[in-house]
Amino acid sequence: MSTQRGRIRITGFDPAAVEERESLSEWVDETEMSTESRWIRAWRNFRRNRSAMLGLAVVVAMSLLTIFARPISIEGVTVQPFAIAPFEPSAILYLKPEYADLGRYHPPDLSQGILMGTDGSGRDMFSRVLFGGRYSISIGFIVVALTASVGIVYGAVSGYYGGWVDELMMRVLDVIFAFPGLVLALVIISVLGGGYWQLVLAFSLFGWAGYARLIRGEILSVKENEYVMAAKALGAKDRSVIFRHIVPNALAPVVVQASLNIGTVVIGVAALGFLGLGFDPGTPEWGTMLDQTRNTLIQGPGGSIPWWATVFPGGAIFLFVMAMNLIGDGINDALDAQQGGSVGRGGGG
Amino acid sequence: MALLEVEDLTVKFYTEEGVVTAADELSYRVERGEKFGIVGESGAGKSVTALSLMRLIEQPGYIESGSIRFKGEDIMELSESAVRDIRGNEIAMIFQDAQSALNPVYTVGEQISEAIRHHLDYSDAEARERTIQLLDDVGIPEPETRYSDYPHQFSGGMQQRAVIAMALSCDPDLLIADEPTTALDVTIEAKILDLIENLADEYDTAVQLITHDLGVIAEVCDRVMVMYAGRAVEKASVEDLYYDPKHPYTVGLMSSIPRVGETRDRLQTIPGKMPDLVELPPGCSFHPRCPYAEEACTRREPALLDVETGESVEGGPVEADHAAACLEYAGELTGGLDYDVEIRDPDSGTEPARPEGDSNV
Amino acid sequence: MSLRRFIAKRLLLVVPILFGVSVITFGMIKLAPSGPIELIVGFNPNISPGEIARLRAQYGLDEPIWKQYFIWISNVLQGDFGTVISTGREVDAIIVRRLPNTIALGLFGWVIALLIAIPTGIYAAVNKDQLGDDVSRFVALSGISLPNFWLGLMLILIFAVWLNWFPVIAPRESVLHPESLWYLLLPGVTIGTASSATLMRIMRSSMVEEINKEYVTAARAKGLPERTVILKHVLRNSLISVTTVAAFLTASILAGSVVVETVFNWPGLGRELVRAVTAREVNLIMAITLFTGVALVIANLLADIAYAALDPRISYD
Repeated sequence: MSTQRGRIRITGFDPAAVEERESLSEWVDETEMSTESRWIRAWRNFRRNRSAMLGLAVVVAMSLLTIFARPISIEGVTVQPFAIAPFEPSAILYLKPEYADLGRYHPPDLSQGILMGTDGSGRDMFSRVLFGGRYSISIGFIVVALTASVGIVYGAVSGYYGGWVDELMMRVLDVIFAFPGLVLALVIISVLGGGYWQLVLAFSLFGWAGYARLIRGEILSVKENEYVMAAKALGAKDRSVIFRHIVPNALAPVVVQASLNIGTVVIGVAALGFLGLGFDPGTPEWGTMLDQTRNTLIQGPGGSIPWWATVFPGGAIFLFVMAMNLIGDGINDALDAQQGGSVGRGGGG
Repeated sequence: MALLEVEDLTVKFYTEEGVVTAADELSYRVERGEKFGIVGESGAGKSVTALSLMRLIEQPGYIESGSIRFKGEDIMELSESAVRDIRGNEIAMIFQDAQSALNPVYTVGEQISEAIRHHLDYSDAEARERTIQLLDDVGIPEPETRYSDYPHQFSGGMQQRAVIAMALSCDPDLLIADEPTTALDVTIEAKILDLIENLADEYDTAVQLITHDLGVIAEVCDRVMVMYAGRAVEKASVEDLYYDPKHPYTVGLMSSIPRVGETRDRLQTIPGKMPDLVELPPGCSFHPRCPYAEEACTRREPALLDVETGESVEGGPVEADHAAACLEYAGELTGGLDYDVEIRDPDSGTEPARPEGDSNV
Repeated sequence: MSLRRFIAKRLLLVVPILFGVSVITFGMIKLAPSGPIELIVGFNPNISPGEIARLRAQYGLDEPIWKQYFIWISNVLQGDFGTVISTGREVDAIIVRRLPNTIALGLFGWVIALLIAIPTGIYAAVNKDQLGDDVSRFVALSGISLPNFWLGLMLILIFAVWLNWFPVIAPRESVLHPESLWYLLLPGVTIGTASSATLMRIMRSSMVEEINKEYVTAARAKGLPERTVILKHVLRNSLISVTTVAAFLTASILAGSVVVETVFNWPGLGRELVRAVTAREVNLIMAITLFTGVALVIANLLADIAYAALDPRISYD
């Protein structure tokens, strides 16, 4: 061991010796293998989440049930021939000779084939609940698809261009946010009247605002990231920067928001139906069905309350929305778990 | 008896990707007043050792085994409240990112005082006075006004000084500095290092300095431990480490430092990168990147060996002056470690006789 | 900038937003294809064109739209919201009568929501991924998924009808005497629980985010007891982000009151709004909608100010 002191220089450590020789062992550096896309990884995480998968199963099951509840024909051509529901939703049972004793508000009776009893007009609740899903579920998906698309574009433009364009667009959003969504939908319905597409419009007209704000926020934070500046420094065009770099990263919270939003819209539609403002009174839409039975509760104790007319339609709403929310939470967890992988957090440094 | 004796410390993290062994049977010792350096690349497990000393490892991490004897008592055996008494009081930590280490909603003064009030049982006024004195000691101008300022009102260097003040507030016997200057400019880095050194000398505080920067080690430390993939691969005094490195990884690190006036085309690096701690190579973790590796290196993980005698110094009370975890020192390598350490006399331009790295003679 | 300047700046910003709120309120209704006149015509198809023209003039509907807006807004600023076309009563009188009931209900629900959500959120965050956390998260998720009108109906079914603990019909008088607290309970709980679910989730995620930050490790490294770390250091930071949610909470309570008041027949503005929509009472709809908008803008403003006051990074330079 030398006792000399001074400037040190080391020779003889030759990296080429490492690179040129053959592997001494079977071991391969795992992290050199390609990383799969974040969406595939998220799907894997999602699959592991039992409650999320349960939610997915319920949503799929309910959607299928409503589709196959009664036959669907378009322009006279029968597109869907199956009928899971035993009766037409509007069929009044006691008018048929074989069901004469199933009057109005008949309790659930498995032996006679009415699983959920009859409603105030003598119609089979089970068939109505199955069929009624069509309204709520379809409106939910349509509204979210529309609002998300519009919102993403609006927010992307606002966030990317910044400056006074952004300021202006954000003030417009502020005004929209000054109203609760249900109140806005209510007012729009007051103007347009009830009905399927009116309801779609009522929730879509201002419903995109939430997505716009979300995307704009994401874009603002991503925009400052260095990889975006790097792309631009290399000469990438604005539009390509937005779509290839920013949007894919900003999309994650939007997906979560959309899945949670479907539940909100379904409840909103049902709420309007419950207030008598959505569909015509006889429509087997879940909320409207609850409106029908509202007055039965005021009878007070003593009279027999047709609890099934309240429990089942509301329960259907609850079940669907709960399942949808489980999916939304599952997506949230699945996408989050990737950011800052646990190994990095666990052992690094 | 040393101030701190870590023996066979093993820390594992149970993650979805697998089990990460962040520290693998780590043993080292810090004497009173000594400045001990732990050096290694990111991901080597350095910060984990620091947090383990204070039992601050949280899920999904667990301290699997090992003992940490501080002033003779094993921290692993103490009750939670006894450990809390030690934290901040006898062992204190300086964090890497001063800005994150400070709570943004409380004044800097308050965050320093609260530890003083808690451990030393000072009154509010006394704690405040002491804090102001500390702020002055670490070189923050106008400490009385600064006491009531919030962290975001401090510059980066000032924040780090405040964090140092926070660590020293209760006169700890051991100071753990986790990359204290990594986030700072080079000019400020020098001042902060000086500050740490001077204060440690003045209060006779031992320092465990964790860094990836070899320059910092050279500047401040007395003894050094080099970590790779969760294990200690070399332990030596600072002089020995620089002038007479024994482990190929250390040699690689030293040779990577670019020199002014060199005529190389490319920067020299150690080929490859540190393996993912979830799946380590068989045998010696460094062998895929080591120019001197042989087949024997894939079969056995070398223990930390005394470079003079070749005996293992793991887990025993015997501390070697200079130890390295390489089969070379057990005499098992056929080729040698084929490197040279040239020491150029700073005054003359010519090169004197060169000492060589060990061959297998 | 100092807190005062921040408040001034925000107040200035509020004015154009309030203007926008009034424009949207007005625009939504007036730009409709059908209005009160059409409704009247719907009832009497034989009405003469002269009569229609007279009605239009009487309600100012023959003016250009922007002029109608100015007339309306200037009346509003003087407190005149017009009349209910079918009954002739003054709209502002209705609002004055109903507003306190809605405020009482809303406040009650707000307090319940906070009382449930904040401790539960803290508990869930501290016990993350353990049983207590999983249970609370599940309960919160159910709370969000429950349609509040269904919850109201079920509560009536269980507590008022089967168990007979509560009266089913709401009081006709104003709620400002002590017995009314009893009547307030069911609807208040209905409104409160739905909002508390969302609030709890936000509280939890905010705290989880804070707990993972480095200043928490630093605080623990100082040897402070865990209770101090959570309640002094973490909570303060989490509450900051929760104030923004407090504004959102107001929105959800306002929306909820529309439905819940209808379920319980509670004499508030929400129930009034539904009746107005059903009857296409334009003036009443506009007035209540405007009120809602203004209330939310003020709530947001207060939340922003609270946020700035709590976060030193904003109020101190």
